[in-house]
Amino acid sequence: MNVVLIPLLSLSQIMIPHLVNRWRLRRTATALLILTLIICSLSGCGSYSQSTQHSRVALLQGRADLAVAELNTQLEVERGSESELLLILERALALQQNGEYHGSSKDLIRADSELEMIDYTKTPLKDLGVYLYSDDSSPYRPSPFEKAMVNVLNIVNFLMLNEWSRAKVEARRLGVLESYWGENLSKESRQNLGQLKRFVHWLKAFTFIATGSPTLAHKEAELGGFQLPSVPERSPGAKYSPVIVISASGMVPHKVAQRLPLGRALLYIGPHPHWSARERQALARIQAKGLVKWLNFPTLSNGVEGRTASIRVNQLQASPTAQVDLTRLAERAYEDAKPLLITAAITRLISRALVGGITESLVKKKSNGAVGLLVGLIAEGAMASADTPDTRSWTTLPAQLNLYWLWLPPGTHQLRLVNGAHPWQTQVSVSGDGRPITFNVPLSRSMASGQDSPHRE
Amino acid sequence: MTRSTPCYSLIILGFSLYLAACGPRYLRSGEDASFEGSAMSTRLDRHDLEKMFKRADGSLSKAGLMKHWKALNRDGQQVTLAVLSIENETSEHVDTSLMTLVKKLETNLINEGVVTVVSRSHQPELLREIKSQGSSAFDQAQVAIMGRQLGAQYLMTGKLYDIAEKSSNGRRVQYFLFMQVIEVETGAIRWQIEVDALKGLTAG
Repeated sequence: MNVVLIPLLSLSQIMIPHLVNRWRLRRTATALLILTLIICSLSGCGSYSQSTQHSRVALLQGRADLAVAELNTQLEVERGSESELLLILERALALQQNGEYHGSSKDLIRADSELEMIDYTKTPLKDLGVYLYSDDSSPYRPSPFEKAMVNVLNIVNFLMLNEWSRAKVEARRLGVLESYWGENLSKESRQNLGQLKRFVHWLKAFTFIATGSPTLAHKEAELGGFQLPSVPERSPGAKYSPVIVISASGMVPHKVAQRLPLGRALLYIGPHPHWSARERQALARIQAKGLVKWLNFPTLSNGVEGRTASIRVNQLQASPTAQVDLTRLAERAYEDAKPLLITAAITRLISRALVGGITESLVKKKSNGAVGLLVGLIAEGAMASADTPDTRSWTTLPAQLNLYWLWLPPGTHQLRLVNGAHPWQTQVSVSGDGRPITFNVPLSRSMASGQDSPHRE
Repeated sequence: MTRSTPCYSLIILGFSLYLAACGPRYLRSGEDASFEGSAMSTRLDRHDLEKMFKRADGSLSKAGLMKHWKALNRDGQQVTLAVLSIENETSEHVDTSLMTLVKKLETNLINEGVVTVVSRSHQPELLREIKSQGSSAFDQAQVAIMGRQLGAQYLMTGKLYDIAEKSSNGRRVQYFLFMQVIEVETGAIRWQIEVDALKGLTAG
C-alpha cells in the first residue's frame, strides 16, 4: 500500500498549490477520470494463463467434462479474439481426455489449418506492437513442439477411433513440418524435438501393424532407431493382438505474468531533514516517475510434474515403451524465446517513458509543470497497465506422455496403470484374430474398474 | 432546425447503408464467380474434383477397355465392375472428397449402362477383412479373391498421393491421382490414368 501512497502524497504536495484555479481543476479532473477509467478497464483484463486456470484444475482433478464446459463458455466470449485458436487447442485436449475423440480431432484439424494461415500472415504492425505497446498484441505463434503436438494428439484421436488412414495423414503432416524445420530450426532445436519424433515413429509403426503392413512398421522402427516388440510365439490358430496404451500425466509449465516495479527502490529514499521544499518536491517527482516504471514479461511456472508409471498386465509389470517429456520441451521453448521477450519488455518500458515524457512536456507548455507531470504519469501508467505480459501457450498439455506396447494372447486380461494417486485399470478381451486394441488413459483418474471399453477395429 | 441538420442526416444515412452492405450474406451457385472459384484450403474442392473427374472419365470412355466392354454389351454380355474406394496417401484430410469422386465415377458408369456396377455397401467390411489378413487391398495377389467375393470381373481402384512442401514463402501440395481397372481373372491392369492437381498457400 505504501508503494502507492507515498508517491501519491508526495505528488499531492506538488499538485495542490497549482490546482486552485477552478476551471483548470475541472479540466484536470475530467482528464484524470477518463484516464483512470481506461487504466481500470485495461488492468481488469487478466492474463491468458489466468483465464484458463479453472480448466487446468478440472483436468488435473480428472474432471475433463468440467474443463470442456469451462472452455466452451470461454470460447463463446473469446470468439474472434487472438486467444480463440489457443482455446480451441485447450478444448481439443480436454475433449480427448473426456473420450470425445471425434470432437477433439475436429478441433485439432481446425487449429492446424488456422496455424498454417498464421504462419503465412504478415502482421508487421501487430508485431511492432510487441516492442511498443503490449506483449500480446501480435497473433499467437506456437513453439515447434506445440505445433507438433497438434498432429501427435490427432494421431492418438484417430488411433482411438480406429481410423488408421487418417492417423497416417496426421503423421504425414508432421513429416512435412519436420522437413520445414530442417531448413528453419537450429540443430539444437531439432535435437530437442527428437524424443517427440521418436514417439511419432512408434505411433506410426503401430498404425502400420494395425493395417497389416509389418514391413512398413519395421521401416518406421528403423527410422526411429528402435526395435519393435517381438510377437510372442503363437499357439496354433490364435493370433496375438497388438495393444497400445497411451497415458498422459502432469501438466506442462505455463507462462505467468511478471511485473517488476523498477522504481520501487526509489521509495526507500527519504528526504533529508535539511532539504528545502524545492528539493523535497524534486525527490517526490523522481519517486512518482519511478512508480510507473514497470518491466512486464512472462516467466515460466513450475507446472505439474509428470510421472513414469509402469503398467501391470495380469500382475506382470511392464515399463513404458516410449516417452516424451513435454515439460523439458516447454522449458526449452521458453529459454529459446526469452531473449526476445526481455528485449521487447525493455523497449516497451522505454517507449512508455518516452510517451510519458512527451505528454508531460506538451501539457507543460499549455498549463504548468505539475499538471504536465501528472498527465505524463497517467499516460505512462495507463500504458504500463495495458501492457499485458504474453502468457499465451497451450497450457493444458500433459507434462509427460507414455506409450506401452503389448502383445496379448487370446483371452481376458487385467491392465492396471498406477499413475500417482490415481490408478487406472480395465479388463480387455482378446479374441484371437490379431486385431489391434488401443487405450488412452486420461491425465488423472479415480479407481474405476471396467469403465473403459477397449476401442477395437 | 439548423442548416447542417440535413447534411448530418445524409452522412448518418450513408454510413448506415455502408454498414448494412458490409454484413455477411448467403450465396448460391452462379452469384459470385470469384467466390466459387477461389481456393479456401489446400484440400480438394469442387473445382479440383471436377477436373479430376473429367480427365479420368474422359480417358476411360476413350480407352480400348471401354470399346471392349461396349462390344461385349452389344453381344449381350455385360461385364460386372466393382468400384473400390480411393486410398488417401496424402498429408491432407481429403477422404470425403475422394468418396465424392468415386461416387461421381460410379454414377456415370451406372448411367452409361455399359457395365454392371457392383454395390459398394459391403466393401468396407471386405477391405477390412483382407487387411486384417495382412495384405494391402490393392495387392495384386488379393485381386482375384476380392473379385470373386464381390462377384466382379473387373475392379476399379485408385490411390491419391501428394508431394507436400512447406517453406517460409508458402505451402504447396501437388496431388497425383492414380486410377486403374484390373481384370480379376488375369490380374492384368486394363486401364490406368494419372491426374494431377495443385493447391497452395502463399505468404501475404
